[in-house]
Formats: sequence, structure tokens, C-alpha cells
Amino acid sequence: MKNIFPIVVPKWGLEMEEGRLNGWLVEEGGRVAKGDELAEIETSKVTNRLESPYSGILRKKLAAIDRSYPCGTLIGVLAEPEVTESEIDAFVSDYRTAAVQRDESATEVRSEVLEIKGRTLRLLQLGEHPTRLLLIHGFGSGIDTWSAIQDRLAQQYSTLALDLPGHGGSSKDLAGIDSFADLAALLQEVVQSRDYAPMHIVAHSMGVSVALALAARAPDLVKTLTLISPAGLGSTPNPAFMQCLIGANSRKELGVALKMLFADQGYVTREFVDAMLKYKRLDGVGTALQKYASLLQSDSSNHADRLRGLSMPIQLIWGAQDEVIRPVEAESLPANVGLALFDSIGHVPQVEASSRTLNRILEFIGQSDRS
Amino acid sequence: MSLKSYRQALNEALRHEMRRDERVILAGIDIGAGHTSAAEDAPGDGGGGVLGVTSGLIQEFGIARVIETPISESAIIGMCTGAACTGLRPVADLMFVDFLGVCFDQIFNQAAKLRYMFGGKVKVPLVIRASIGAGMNAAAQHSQMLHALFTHIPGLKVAMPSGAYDAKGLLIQAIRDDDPVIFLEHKGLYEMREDVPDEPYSIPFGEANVLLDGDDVTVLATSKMVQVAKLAAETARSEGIEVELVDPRTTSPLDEETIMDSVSRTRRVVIVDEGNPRCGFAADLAAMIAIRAHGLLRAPLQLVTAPHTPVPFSPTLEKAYLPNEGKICAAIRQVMAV
Repeated sequence: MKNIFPIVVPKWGLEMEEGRLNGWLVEEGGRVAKGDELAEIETSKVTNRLESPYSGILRKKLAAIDRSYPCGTLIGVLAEPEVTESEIDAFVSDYRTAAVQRDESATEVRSEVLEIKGRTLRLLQLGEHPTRLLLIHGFGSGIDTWSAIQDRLAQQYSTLALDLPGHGGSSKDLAGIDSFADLAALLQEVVQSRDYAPMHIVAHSMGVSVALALAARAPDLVKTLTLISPAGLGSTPNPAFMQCLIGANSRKELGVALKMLFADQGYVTREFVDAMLKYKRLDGVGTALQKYASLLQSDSSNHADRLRGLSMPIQLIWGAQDEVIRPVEAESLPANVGLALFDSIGHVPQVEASSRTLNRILEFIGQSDRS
Repeated sequence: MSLKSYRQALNEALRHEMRRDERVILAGIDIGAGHTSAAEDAPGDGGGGVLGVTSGLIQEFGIARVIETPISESAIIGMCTGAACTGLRPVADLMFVDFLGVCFDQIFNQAAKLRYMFGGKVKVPLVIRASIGAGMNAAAQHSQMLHALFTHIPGLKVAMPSGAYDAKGLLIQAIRDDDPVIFLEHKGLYEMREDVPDEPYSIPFGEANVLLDGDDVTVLATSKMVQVAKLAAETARSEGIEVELVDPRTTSPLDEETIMDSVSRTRRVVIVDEGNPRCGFAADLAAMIAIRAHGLLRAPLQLVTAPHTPVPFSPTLEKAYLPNEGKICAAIRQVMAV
């Protein structure tokens, strides 16, 4: 079998069922290397660039622009020049036949709900491997923030993402949670009840405050820390962003807040704003966000001291154009902490620069596991 | 979150609020499937009013909170208005909006006016649910819209959900609201399904929903006409016309800002309303736009409404009576042609 590779509509997360092909970024006959951007795909949440999973020549485009296709649909074929047209046609026909069979046997990835201490927490566990990874999202977010990278991380690690109380599919009542230490205690109970520790932690924004509290409380459970656009390290989140996000009740107002999250404002689709608006309308969410905001306000001890007190390897990932939490100077960080600063990226690198973020995490955890 | 019908979404809203607040009571004809005995004796899930919205509630909340009434709409509304004044939060089920005619005094002169007349010393947190709309061959006395009548009365709020998600959020908001709310459910929407969160949520009144973004023409529609206009917008799109579809959600209060924002950008307007045209909601919107966007519009605005006749019983005539995709598309082409 010669090297012929399928290009399919990717599945960027749990709830993505179909993607709309907004356009190709490569012409038929054009050569791409693995990782090059191939096409722009729009989901109900974001518009993202599909990176080529293989190297080769884009021999055939099989999908129409501005049409939606279910995840996994073959939209193009990559192959070297020596592959003939008829071989490609045969490949396409075989692939489609096999796809129908795959569809029938596919099991759907589903989040689960855990009852703990009188509250419900929504979890998404993907991948079964010896090395474990815990993903902690930020303010007003949820497990979906990892959707561009979790399934790829799950190819090498057991990954566990959860919705913090007050977020996503978890219960919205924050009674009994008065500090990030309380949240850390809750997470510790979750991971221990599932025999999930020790683990690597990847945390974003406000999730970093939780991760640091967990690492301080139970350092033996935490093998490494990847802290993305971190709160709790000195600079408090932009008050304009917080006020706008908490106070916004209309799509227009909320759009203003959400645009502060990204350098490329194309990520703020109407679907993304709608989903956020729907979340904000749920009973208890307003109160929960207020409470988190006040926790964040009071959680800004000296970042260097805080990191120096921890013995596990730590890396920071930050977008240089983060308008929500401005990046710290690399010089102000302790020597044991690496900083990856992504140019032209805002507050949510795991969405806006998902491949770079993913590679950073894989390299970092790979290194620490080897040493 | 899962796919739920408009009917289920409304049922969930009632259930959530009755669990959350014991002051919430229901009253109406057959809302407990006709059972006036103890809740234990009530049948399984068969009941819930002629439209099935209150199904299962008498079993959970009992006959003291799910009150089966005699066939007297004026008694239902009179009782519920009084109950609201004393601190309960009644949801009256009036079945068909056409029947509200016999309780206009209770609605127009009592419920709507009491807070004003008593200088704010009394509140009337009353919800009146009623089904609206034609298309079911239910003839002239069971098919009207009548939203314009209630929108006309200061002191009433009027909500008209166009989908299952809005139905749940708007009904919860209506029950929590301290003023009387006329809550109008379209008969042709009860079976439509949408993703609806399992948790309670509320959608503020006076916040229009922009269902489609477009730069060419603003289409304003309410209730079931939103779904019809959506189909028309798809057709228009295939002709290269980008429609911005705006659903006011509540006709009172009215989100004038969102409507005018859209109109001043597209400068072309089609207003779709299933109601009759004279002194109707479409005419009301048209007047507002004519006043506030005078000189800005690139074409005379177009109204797509029912004609000034009763709703015909004959299926053929009823079909001709209703605004439909074709009529909306023609209006869109008309404003684009100038």
C-alpha cells in the first residue's frame, strides 16, 4: 500500500458533532508538511485551523466550501505524486465503506457525573495509560476549554478534566467553598477516590490558583505543574474583564468581555457567546462567579515565593497578548520555572494555539518522566 | 442538556419553580387530568391539561397546589389575581387565548392595574398561560393570536417563546416576575425540539434574540413565525441575501435597542406577525421604526401578517390565511429590489 492519507473533519471536543468547511488554505496539488494549516473548520463553538496530520501533496478535495459535515467525514486526500488517480479513487471508496462500519461500532465519548460531599461534579476521563494528567479550567469556563487538546493528550496519558463547582455541568452551589484551598481539598478527594494520583497537572487561569493550593497541600500527589495564563501568581485578573463577564446579560455586552480572551477575535463566534450566555442564565451561576471573583481578588501573594516553595518541575505557558492576566517578566521567575511565551496569542492558548500548547505539555511531561 | 420538546420544557419550568418555591400554585381546567381526589388516586402520566403541559404535576405536588377548577375562566383569573395579591404565585392555565375574552375585567382592570392603583403597596405575581395560533384546523374561536390586545395594556407583560429553550427560561422568569405576565404558547410549537438544559435558568424579559446574523435585511418575527422566517432566511441565503432574524421574545417590555441596532445596520425591514394587521404588533413595530429610522431605510418596510378576517376553518383557506415561507421570501425580495 502506497502512502495515501485521509484528511477528515476533526473532532475538537466532546460536543462537536460536525464541522463546517469554511475554506481550504492549500490548493489541490500543493505540498504540505505535517503540522501545516490545511483548512479552516468552523464548529458550533470556534473556528479553527485544521493542521495537516501527515506530510504529502493535497491530491483531492472532497468537500464543498461552506457546508457542514459530521466529524470523521473524509474531506481530502494526501499522497505523493507517484500515486495514481485511480489508486486515490479506490482509497476514497474503501475509506467511505469502512467509515460506515466504523460509525456503527463507534462508542460515544461521554462525560460522567460524580456525587461528592453533597454536590455533583461533571468529569471527562479520556485515555487509559499509566501516566495520569489532571486538567483544571479557569473562571467561567469548563471541561470544554480542553477540547482541542484533551483527546490528543489522551493518546499518551490518562486524562481527567472536570468542571469546578459553579461551572459547566457541575452543581452551581458554592456552599462550603470559601477558598482555593477548599477547592484543592475537594479535588484531592476526587483524585484519591478514583485512585488517580500521583498525576501531572495542567491548569488554566483561575485553575492555577486551585492547582497551586493542591500542590502546596499534597505535594506528593503532583508530579509536574503546567500553568497556563496563570492567576494567583502576582497579577490579579483585569478588573474590566471580570466586571464585564459577571455583569453582562446580553450577547452584545458578553461579546465585549469574551473578545478580551483572544488575540484573534475570530474565536468569539456567536455560538461561543450564546453558549456562555446560556451558562450565565443558569440558576446560581451569577452568585458563583461573584464568589470566585472575590476569591481571585484576595489570592495574589508573591508569585516567585509561591513557586519557589514547590519542588516539582513547573512550566508556565502564556500568550504575549494576554489582556486578562498580563504575562510576568521571565526574569522575575525562579530559576526552576520555565516560561513559554507565545507571540500574538491571548489568554487561552489551549484554544488559540492548541498545537503549540499540546507540544509544550507533551515535551515537558516527557522530560520529567524520563528524568 | 438534551433534546426536549417545547411541551417538556414548559413542564420542567413549572416543576422547577414548584419545587423551589411552595408559593407557586397552578389552577386550570383539567390540568390534573380531571382528578379532584387525592393525588394518590390520580392516574399515571396521562393527564396535564388538554395540551399535556402540566402532565405529572398533580402527582408530585398534590391537589392543594395543582387546582382543578370549574369551567369558568373568569373565576380562575379572579381567584388567581386574589391569590397573587395575598402572596402566592399562581400560574393560571387558560388553555386557549380565545377564552380570555370572558375575563378581560379581571385582567385589564384588576390584575394589570392593582399595583398602580395602590401606589405599589400590592404586587400581582400572576402568570396566565394560554395557547395561541392557527394551523391546527381549530377554527375561528380557538386559533387567534391576540398578543396585541395584551401588549396594549400597561401593567401587563407579554412573553411569546418561539422555541423550547426560550419556553423554559421565559416561563421561569414569568413565575419569578412580580407583575402579571401573559404567557403565550403557540399550538404549532409544542412538538418542536431543541437542546434544553436540565437545570433551571431564566431569560430576562425585554431581551430580543438575534437568531441569525445578516447585513442585508432585518426580519422581525415572534412565536411560531420565527421558525417560519428561519426557513425563509435559508431560501434568501441561497439567493445571496443575508437575513438578520430578530425575535423580540417579549412584546412587552420590548427590546427596542436590539431591534433598532439591527435596523439601522441593514436599513431594510420585513415584519412577520401571525396576528391580524389592524392595530397589530407588526403595525406597532412599523411605527417605531418609521419614527426612529426615518430617512434611513433603503426601501419601504414590508409587513407579512394574517389578513383582517377571522381564522378560517377550511384547511385550504387557513393555509392561505397564514403567513408562510413563500410570503416572507416575497417580502424579502421586495425590500431588496429597491
